[in-house]
Amino acid sequence: MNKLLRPFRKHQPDIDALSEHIDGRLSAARSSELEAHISTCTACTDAHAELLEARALLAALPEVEHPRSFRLRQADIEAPVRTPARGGSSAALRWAPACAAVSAVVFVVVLGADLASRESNNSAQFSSLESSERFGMTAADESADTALAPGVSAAERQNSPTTGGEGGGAIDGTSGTAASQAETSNPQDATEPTGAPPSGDAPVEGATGAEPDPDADATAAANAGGSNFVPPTATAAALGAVPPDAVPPTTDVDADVEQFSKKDSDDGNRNGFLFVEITAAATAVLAGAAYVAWRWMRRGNAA
Amino acid sequence: MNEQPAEATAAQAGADPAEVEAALVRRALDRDLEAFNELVDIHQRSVFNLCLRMLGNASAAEDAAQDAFLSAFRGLHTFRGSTFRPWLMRIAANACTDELRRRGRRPAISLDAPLAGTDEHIDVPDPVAGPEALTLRSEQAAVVQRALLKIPADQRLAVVMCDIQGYAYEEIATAMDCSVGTVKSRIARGREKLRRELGPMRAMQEQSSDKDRQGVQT
Repeated sequence: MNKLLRPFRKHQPDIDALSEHIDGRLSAARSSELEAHISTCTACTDAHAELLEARALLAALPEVEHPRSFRLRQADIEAPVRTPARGGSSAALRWAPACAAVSAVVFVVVLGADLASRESNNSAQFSSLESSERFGMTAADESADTALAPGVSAAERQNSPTTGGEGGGAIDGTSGTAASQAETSNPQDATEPTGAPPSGDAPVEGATGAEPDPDADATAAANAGGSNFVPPTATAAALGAVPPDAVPPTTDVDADVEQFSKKDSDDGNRNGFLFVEITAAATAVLAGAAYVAWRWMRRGNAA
Repeated sequence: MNEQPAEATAAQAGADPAEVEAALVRRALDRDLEAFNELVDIHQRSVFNLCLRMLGNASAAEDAAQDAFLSAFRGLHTFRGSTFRPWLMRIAANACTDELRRRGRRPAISLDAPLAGTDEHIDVPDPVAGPEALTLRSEQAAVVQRALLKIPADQRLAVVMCDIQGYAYEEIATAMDCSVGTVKSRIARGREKLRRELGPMRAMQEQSSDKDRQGVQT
């Protein structure tokens, strides 16, 4: 242990070694080495003296008489064990951070689903409008394109000047039975809307259902220019932008009704999302705040 | 009261205290409460003092000591080893830790009143037996005790056991359930920190004691 003294740097005493030394626990060799060093190093001399003083002061503390006997009585050993006091509320609040985290995750997931559903609604409407333009509809139909109904209604209007909606069957995107009824009955308006399930599968079904139908309603198909005419909803489905609620209204009134009911269900979905989002966000914030407040209060008491 | 255990102990009075203690432990393990209480008689003073120095006030020390003996009785079946005293001190140290948790990290000690028990039951033989010496000593004890409470609990336990109660490093290692190396470093750091805490206090202490000596003697 040859720590050379540097004039501009104070020697750092080895407190552990010095402490052991005053307890007589250093080996003889190390002990004499240390003694020799202490005599030349002021820093170590001071440290050595301080350790000795601390030990002396502690040793000088008087031993105090115990105030009473600690003998155990029979009652003591049979009594219930005294457990360390921990706040009753602490158990509940230990769950607070986990609860906050879960709520936050729920919030994000639901928000994502909400935004995604709104996006697909918008994109489906846009793509169906695009596809109807692609099939070169008449000017009258183009004006109908501005309506929010799927492009099927535009095709309907194409039919209406010629027949009383007979061609509706070919482009009925709902069910095969409704399509076959379409050619025969004028009050198809009544049946089709009611029979139309607002599902995402409908346009696809309509695509498959429409093709065998041309035989059933050949005249209607001819009027509609049907064989060359592919229902826009089928195309829309092919494009991948399936409107989840593709209800093909046959008349404007029905279109409006369908629009509103579609809007209602949309709003219902949106309200549901909104409710969950608000609840999850509120839970996350409250749980997080409660946990932070509890830790802050306990900071002075933790051992 | 059952006289037999007392007679048995008296007969063994000349015997090795370690053997006496071992016999008491064996009997206590057989649910002999009287045998256990004899162990209490032997060790209660040092257990109480350990708790007192660790916690800084007599009331807390009483609670901790009582808990320590209760735990020792209940956990006697876990005692394996040669000496009873370090094992008991470990239980006492744990009881102090529990008590510290119950009362907050800094146990409340009155700065005005002298430490309970220090001015009434001073057993240290003092050549200067006058009241002045007694007062100085109790004041100094209060100052050192206050400084002790400011160092970390593990260092405090190490220096209390080493410098106040005179345990060897190995016994302290058993009591603290750590290595001898750890004990050495805790003792070293505890002493250093204590001295640093006492530094400014010592200067004030010396000033006030100088004034006492120079001042009017009543």
